[in-house]
Amino acid sequence: MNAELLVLGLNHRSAPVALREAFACGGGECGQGSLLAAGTIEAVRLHTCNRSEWILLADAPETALAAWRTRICREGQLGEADFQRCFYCHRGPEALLHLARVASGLDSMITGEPQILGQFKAAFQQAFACGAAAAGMDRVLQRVLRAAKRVRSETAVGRGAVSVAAVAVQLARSMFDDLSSRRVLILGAGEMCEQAAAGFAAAGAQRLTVLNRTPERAAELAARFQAASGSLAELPAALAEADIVLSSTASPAPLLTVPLLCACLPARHGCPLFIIDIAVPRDAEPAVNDLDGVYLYNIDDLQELVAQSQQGRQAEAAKAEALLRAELAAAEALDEAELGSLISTLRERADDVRQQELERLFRRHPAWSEEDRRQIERSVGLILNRLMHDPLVSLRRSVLDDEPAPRSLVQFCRRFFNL
Amino acid sequence: MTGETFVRLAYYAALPFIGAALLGFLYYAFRREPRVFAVATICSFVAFACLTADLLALFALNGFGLVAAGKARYVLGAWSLMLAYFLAEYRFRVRLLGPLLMPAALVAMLLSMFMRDAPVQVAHIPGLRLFLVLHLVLLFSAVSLLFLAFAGALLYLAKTRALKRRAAAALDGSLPGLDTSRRILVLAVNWGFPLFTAGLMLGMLYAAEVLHGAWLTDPKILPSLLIWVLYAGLFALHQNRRVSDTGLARSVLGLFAAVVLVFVATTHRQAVDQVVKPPPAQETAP
Repeated sequence: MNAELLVLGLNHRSAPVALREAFACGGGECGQGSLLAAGTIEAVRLHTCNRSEWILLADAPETALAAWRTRICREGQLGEADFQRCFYCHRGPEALLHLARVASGLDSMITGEPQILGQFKAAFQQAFACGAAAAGMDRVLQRVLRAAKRVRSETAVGRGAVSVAAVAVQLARSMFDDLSSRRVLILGAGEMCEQAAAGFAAAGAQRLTVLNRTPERAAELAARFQAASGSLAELPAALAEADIVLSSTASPAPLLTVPLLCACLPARHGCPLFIIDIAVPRDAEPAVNDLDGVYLYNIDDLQELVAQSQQGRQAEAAKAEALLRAELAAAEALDEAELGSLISTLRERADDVRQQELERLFRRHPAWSEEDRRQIERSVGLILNRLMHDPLVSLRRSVLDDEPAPRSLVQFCRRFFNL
Repeated sequence: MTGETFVRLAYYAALPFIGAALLGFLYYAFRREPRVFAVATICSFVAFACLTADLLALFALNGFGLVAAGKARYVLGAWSLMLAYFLAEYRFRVRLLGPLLMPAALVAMLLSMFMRDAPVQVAHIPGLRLFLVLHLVLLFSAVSLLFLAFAGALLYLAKTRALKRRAAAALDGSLPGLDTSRRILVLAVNWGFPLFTAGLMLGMLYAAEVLHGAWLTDPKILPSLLIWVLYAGLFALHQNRRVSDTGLARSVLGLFAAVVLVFVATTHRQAVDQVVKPPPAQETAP
């Protein structure tokens, strides 16, 4: 049985959101168990907010494609023209490469984003759990994961933050090794403050304080993060102790002024103060950045860093792409090389045995003519070849096409034949 | 193979490995290639092993007298710098310390090539000999820590500058975190000054006992005291939190510059003295 890997799907580049949401399904309830259609032996459905893909192992690829086209069009209520326009189809090695690109985040909207790898694994696990995928898909998954992990570890495609909140947390981390012991002061209680507070809390910050013009709203936000709260009147005292200040108030005039900070700095004994001002109009005077030990970043600075990170990731994407191709080709070549070595060793062993037995036979019967000996040699050779042909063909097919763990099979054969 | 041959072999074997390690670390600093860093680290380990073998063999052959003398002193300097680098790298995981500290080790080795093996006068009393050993250990440790403080100060100021200017290096991980650089700087200063002080005191006690009044004419004495005064001032300001971290980093750079100046001046003076007046044969350790 020689199954071909197929990937049918649509993503943020190929289809508009209105079409993508037609295939949206909640969490793991995507009916992985009902995936098997005509011509398909194993199937996985991958669904994220930007893509829906059907990963198939098909023993009759053309039949499978036709069946899936009908099924997808029915599910999304699409016409044939929409399907042709918005869906892509990858086959064989191209499909494997596409999956590796997806798993390593190279095909994502934000290049290099790490969540896709978890979603990818989860989709396969669901398919394994409900019986839609088995050994063949496991082999695909292992190859893809190996390649994706190399991309993560050997390129910088996932480095750098790509959102304002993430950049703020990353900057704080580049200043302070351990955020858990640092005091984070949040000025304001709006949505941006909430996002940033969530980012800092997720990064391990435990000592959060929320100050707001209306203390009740500050208390409300603080309660969500087990933080302290207060009014803006407490700002000078809080500044003397804070390590990180995130400000997003609606104040028309700057709250963090040079005189205020100059008054606070002596009490800080030279400890650095990181101010993130994401308010418009700004909450911190730009001249604050000139003070010794004070580092001010406003919303434009953060946006600039986000753009730099994105550019950096794009630059790394080409390197990652080359690495993926090399990894997949190397895995294929390794399987073939190990198989080739096994087959040649097996043949050599069989030839040795044949040769030894024939020599012993001829020694016992010295009267046999040269012609008889040639006939016997030929017959024994033919018997051996016919006996070995089918097992070797099956072995080759298993290793190169079907087998989930080809190296294990090769090792088993070596043990079995004592090679 | 005789002991002398082994010493020479170990010494000359260390040189190319230090050079290779330095090149590797510099390449890593610019290109961020982890494999090159790994190769450079292996080279630095091999060089360190060669230097260790060299110093042990030298000690076995000649005792402390020659280990403390001209050529071996620089080898000991390079060795202690590399040890400081390994410990700091292990403790802080800052890969940029390699390109900052390894050039100093290479310079020390290159300088050692132009030095003679001139044994220093070693006291016959075993207790006083221990003074010399401690003096050397403490001073070389203090100097290595000063180099480490210099590296930490450079990294701290570079990171500060990147953060103030909102440069990419503030975020892209090419420089260590501000906290890490600060911890390297503070640890090196906090340990370096007491070691330097103890080393100087032991050295003076030893010299007063063995060399009597002659030690005051040593060109190293007055500049060393001057360095000590500067270092003490900085240490006191830092301990009393009278200087900010940026101020401490800048002061360490200044102190380092002063030490280099003193080193260059005294080395030049000694070289001139050696040319004008070849030293008489001195008594070596029994």
